[in-house]
Amino acid sequence: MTNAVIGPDQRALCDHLRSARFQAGVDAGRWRLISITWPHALIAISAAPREGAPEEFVLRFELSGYPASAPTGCPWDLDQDAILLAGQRPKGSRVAHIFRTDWEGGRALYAPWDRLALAHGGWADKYPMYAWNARRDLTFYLTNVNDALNNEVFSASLSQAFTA
Amino acid sequence: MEIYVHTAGSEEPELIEIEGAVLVRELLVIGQGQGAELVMIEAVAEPIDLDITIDEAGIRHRDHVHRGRCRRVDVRVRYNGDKSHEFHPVATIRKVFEWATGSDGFDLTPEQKAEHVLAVPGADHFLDWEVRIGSLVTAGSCDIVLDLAPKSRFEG
Repeated sequence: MTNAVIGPDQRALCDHLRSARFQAGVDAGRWRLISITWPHALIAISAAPREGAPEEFVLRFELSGYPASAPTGCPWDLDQDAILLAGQRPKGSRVAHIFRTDWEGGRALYAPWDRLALAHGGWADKYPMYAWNARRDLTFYLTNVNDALNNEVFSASLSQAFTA
Repeated sequence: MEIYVHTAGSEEPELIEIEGAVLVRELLVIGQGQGAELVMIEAVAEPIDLDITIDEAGIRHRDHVHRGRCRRVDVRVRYNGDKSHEFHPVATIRKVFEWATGSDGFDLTPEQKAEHVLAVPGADHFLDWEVRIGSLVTAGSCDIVLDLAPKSRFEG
């Protein structure tokens, strides 16, 4: 990050990236910051190990207005520098639904911690434990995605999907 | 070095910079100590001697330590009934979850385990796997009640 004058949203993100919770996740190998080109940030999130499947998935975040405005994360192919194709996304019941490509062209996660999905009417009230609000930080988003990528059903299903 | 300090009464840890030659006692007052009286690490069952140094205690860069007043935390989990178990304050929520969903707890299938998570009753979020159970106790208590709750599948 540069020393140039930055806005409150970028400053808030920098503060949150230095927080103990974010750093503990990095130390534990749960996620890693790849780069920031404001208002975007590339962050890799670890997935449960399974044969023939990636060890992590990358999200390209758009963070304008953060944290008053929720982040939105697009599943990203680092090699192609493009949106992650449907066949390369995690399989499994719950996680595949979150990484679905048949909604908004797959350019955001289908979960109430994401800005685009939160625009669904009533999701903030329907899913208050998952919904973004201005008191959350990026680690809240990352912990939810990390959990989705690491539960047991996901591990088994994805392993089968990638090795089939 | 930097150390992750987990404090009773605060779910959020602090990342504190401290010299290895400093006494463990300093960890009681640095940052938001909230009246902590003892310091514990995962590798040792009992509280650390407060009058040895951080180095002598075997605490290394970016290790996790807990400070509070409880040597053990009595955890009661609610899910079709109650189950209780005593944990070291540095135990993670993952460890509590493994007990709560295992054969000594509610004996969930792998599929059921994948669809559940722990939460403090009335909280606005589920507990992250890396939260230390000792950080959830409130002043004057060494007990905590948690709910084993189902995860949501999001539908528009």
